[in-house]
Amino acid sequence: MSIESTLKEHFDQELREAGLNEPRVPRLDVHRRRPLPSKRGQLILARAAIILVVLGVGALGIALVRDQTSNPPAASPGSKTLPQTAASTVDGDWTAVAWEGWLFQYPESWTLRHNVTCREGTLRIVVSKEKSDPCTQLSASPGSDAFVALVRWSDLKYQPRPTGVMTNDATELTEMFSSGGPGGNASVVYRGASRADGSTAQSIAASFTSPRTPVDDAPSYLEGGDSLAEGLDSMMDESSVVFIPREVPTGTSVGSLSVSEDQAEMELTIESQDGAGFLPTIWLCFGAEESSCGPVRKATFTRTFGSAQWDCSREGSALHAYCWRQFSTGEWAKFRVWHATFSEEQLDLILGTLTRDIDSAAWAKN
Amino acid sequence: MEDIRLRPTSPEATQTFEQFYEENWLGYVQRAYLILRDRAAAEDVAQDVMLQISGRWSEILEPRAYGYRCTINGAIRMAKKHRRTLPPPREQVHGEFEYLADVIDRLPLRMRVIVVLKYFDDLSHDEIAEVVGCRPGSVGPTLNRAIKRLSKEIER
Repeated sequence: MSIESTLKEHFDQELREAGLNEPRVPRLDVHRRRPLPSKRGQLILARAAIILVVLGVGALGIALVRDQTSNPPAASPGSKTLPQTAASTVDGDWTAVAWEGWLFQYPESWTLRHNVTCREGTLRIVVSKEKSDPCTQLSASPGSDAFVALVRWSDLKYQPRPTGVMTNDATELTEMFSSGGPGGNASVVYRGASRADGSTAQSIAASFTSPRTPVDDAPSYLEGGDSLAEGLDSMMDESSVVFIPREVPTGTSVGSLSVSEDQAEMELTIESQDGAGFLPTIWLCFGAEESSCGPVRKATFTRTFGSAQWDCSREGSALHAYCWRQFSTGEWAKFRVWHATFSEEQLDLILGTLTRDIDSAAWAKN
Repeated sequence: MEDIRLRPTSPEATQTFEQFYEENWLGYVQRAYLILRDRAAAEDVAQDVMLQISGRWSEILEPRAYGYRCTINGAIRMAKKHRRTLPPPREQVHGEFEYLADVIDRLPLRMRVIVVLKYFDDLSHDEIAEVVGCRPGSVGPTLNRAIKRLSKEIER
């Protein structure tokens, strides 16, 4: 057998072993470069181009005049109604503990809503996009943005799996759990490109962790199925992201907390552990006390990586929370929650939920 | 570098991006995989290519060819960036397949890319030169050197 045919077979076998051979994709075309015309040819082409331009302009002018005189202007397409997602829900055998962390990063012109349903064996995620960012007022044309979604799912190591593409306003991803059971986790990574402003998003990740407690022990508030879901949904609805380039040192873990009359600031630097994981999730912190901005209760990490800084403040009944997070691209994302007007009961539920799984957290402070 | 928009209307013009994605996703991953030998990295390259295309979907007249070139270039860039880690070291060289894979892995990156383009995609020398951005006259000698090296290793 010749070396050429050996190589052909080898490449096919490589793809088979990697599970990439089906279906066999035909040879992809390569665009051939056309030879440049001679000087004489170039002159002829240039003349032809000039004639075509003159004719084209004339024809366009005539068409415009006709259009204005005989036809009314075409109606502009109405603004597209974007789908409204239902409240985020976590049901079935998975409890609210599943919401270990969310992390968003996407162009400023995007506001995404996630509707996640976790059932035993299935993770269903519906993502929809809103047309403008309430914070920056940057608008994106509905339907003009596109992003591809990639679900990375496994217990520990990530197994990228392309699942679909979203070019309109909503997409639905359904993933079957590979192992299921307590302790598993999945990250959904979207890579997006906004045609409106040309920006691209590295990723958006959402992590879900299955409950570590049996379902029977799940908190009673889950039975109603609304309080936590609504609370989280309120957060999601009014969240936005802006990118803030800034430099935060990495190094040995250092935590500090300062509380003034109307603001609490917490800074935390964690020793970077390169390769420790993909896009760690950092939770926001919230205050729940009436008397001050609310002490920062807890902050949890699913993985230690990079650096983070929080800044929480409370004005009247509105809760403001900020979270910065550096991504592998070097960008900083500032995540802000406006008007998370939870009741004390809701806050307690959320905080209780958030802080339940922090046994391995790097830092926690009242 | 050729401007792909110079091309006249292609058969892909009526295709939606979703259709394009479905039809070409795997092909891009395959090509990137053969260069990178890392599935996750290959999928990352293909994702980036799809993003580029989706962002310029209305402008690109030959998205398939454009994506193909982006894939090869993206895989080369990633291989250079991670040249210490990609392709992943093989655990053990057992049989003929593993041995040949190991030999191909040890080819210089550019040579490996040219071998893939030639023997996986059956591209002509001119096409290979266009994709990797080199002179057409240098493709043949590079391939010859690669074949010689591979034959020598296989004969051992």
